[in-house]
Amino acid sequence: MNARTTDRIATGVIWAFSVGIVGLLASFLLYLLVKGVSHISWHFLTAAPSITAGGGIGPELWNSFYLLLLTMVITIPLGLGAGVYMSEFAPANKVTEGIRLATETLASLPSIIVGLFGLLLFVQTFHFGFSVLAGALALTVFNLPIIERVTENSIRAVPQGLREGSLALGMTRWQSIRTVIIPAAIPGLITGIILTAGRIFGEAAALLFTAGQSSSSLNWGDISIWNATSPLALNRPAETLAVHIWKINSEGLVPDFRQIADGASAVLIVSVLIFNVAARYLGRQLYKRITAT
Amino acid sequence: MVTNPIEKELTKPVVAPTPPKVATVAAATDVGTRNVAIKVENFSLFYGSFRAIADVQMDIREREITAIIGPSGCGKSTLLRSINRMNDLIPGVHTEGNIVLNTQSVYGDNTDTVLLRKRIGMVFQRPNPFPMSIFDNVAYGPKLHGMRDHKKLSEIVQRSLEQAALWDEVKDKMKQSGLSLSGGQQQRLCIARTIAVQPEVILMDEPASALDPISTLKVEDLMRELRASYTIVIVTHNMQQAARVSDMTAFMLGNTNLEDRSGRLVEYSPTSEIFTQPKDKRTEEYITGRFG
Repeated sequence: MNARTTDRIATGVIWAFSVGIVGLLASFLLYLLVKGVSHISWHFLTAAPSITAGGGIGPELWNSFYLLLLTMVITIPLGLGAGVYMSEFAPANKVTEGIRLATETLASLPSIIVGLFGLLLFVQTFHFGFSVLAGALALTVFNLPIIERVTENSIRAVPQGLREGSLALGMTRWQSIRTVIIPAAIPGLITGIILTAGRIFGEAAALLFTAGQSSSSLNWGDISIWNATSPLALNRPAETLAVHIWKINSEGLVPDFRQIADGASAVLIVSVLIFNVAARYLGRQLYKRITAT
Repeated sequence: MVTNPIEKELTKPVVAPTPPKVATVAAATDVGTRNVAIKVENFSLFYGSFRAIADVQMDIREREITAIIGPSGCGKSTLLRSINRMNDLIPGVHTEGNIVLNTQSVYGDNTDTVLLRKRIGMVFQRPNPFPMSIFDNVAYGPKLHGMRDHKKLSEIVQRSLEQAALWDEVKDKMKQSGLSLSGGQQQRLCIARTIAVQPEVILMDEPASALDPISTLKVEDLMRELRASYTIVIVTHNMQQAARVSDMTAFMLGNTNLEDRSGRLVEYSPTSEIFTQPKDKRTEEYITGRFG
């Protein structure tokens, strides 16, 4: 077989694989949307679940976003800090090798294990109960190692020339990191944060036993972080959309549990989609603002 | 040009093939009369246990252009990067001997590398503008060193860009990214950025090797202009370039025997002499293109 034929075959095979994967994903997405979209209404998105037919997913949808926000508020500063340290300051020795190994292991931990760990530590030992706080902390355990790795890798990918250029002008390490290296790493950081955000939004197993599988009906006028009916409360149980889908599918008693699961799945997928597009757009704007490109 | 005695010298068929022609006019006249800006004192640098440069001794005079030439791996870039301690960034580096900038010891125990690098600017082989606007690239140094007054910053930016012979090309697009410029413009932007913090010395590490011939000439013209106010040390692969721009030339060579490959300073003379009457046999062989 000559090189040209091999090339054609290889190209064909690669092309077929790509089309196959994209096709699979597209049909999956289409299936979810077609089955689910017809159940989506304003009432469905805002009302609380009911014991009869016609319940909504309002609190669950809110809980998903609230937990995502809280988790990001905790993990981004910690992960950025750790990532900057590991890429810029940490000496190459046994300790940092150990940290890296630990981070990698933590990042590949099955999420149900993270959930059970959260149950033992946050829910029971710290007496947080099934709560927003316990859920957010479990998600932090789940998310932190990935944000750390993403930060470390995007900062390492910044060309050495930029680092040297800044130091050669008499900048301190921190000045050069703050003004040149982090801005140059922003596209990588944004991509990493978006990817982990999607994972958090769809996560169920880590939350089953931490944020809990129920949600109190919420009083939207309340902004306290302690009242059980406040949407912002940290100490109330908070079933998320993904947990709700799992639960209603496996043990739902309402007659329309199928439709609710379908609708909720479509909402989940669309939310992740909107979130990704918006975050990408914001990331690009931010990078443009900083770098003037 | 033809009346230049050095040119005549070169037309004689003494050494074949023809060494690079020396075209610096102003340079030759006042060589050796200026004060010493940088004293390299018996300086060696090690990467781990490997001695990359050994016992280099040279005086670099102020407001002259000093070129360091030599084949790949002879340690010329390492020597240059030792002057502003850029080699500190590489793990496992240690040094012996010292380098003195005027009266400031570069390798003293209490040397503040941040202050040192303010006084010794550097231009790199690959243009490395920051991912920010042209204005911000030049304002970067002064701003972070505490200059807040926008009017003064604008003045510094304009003056630096004018000195770097870039102002006319960029004055209408100061808000555009520095990365939108061509390679040659980017390199002049980096020179402007360096000038903006008003260093005493500018180190240039093969500043034109990534540029096209026209941009190279622009950068060389610029170096001759800057010579009036700055001490310039340039590392170059290109002997013609060294001959064209420099006042003094240092020739470095790594020993070829396997036990000791350390780079050493072989010869250090006025450029007009080193390219016409090299004292060392190895210098002559190198500049006439017999190796390297």
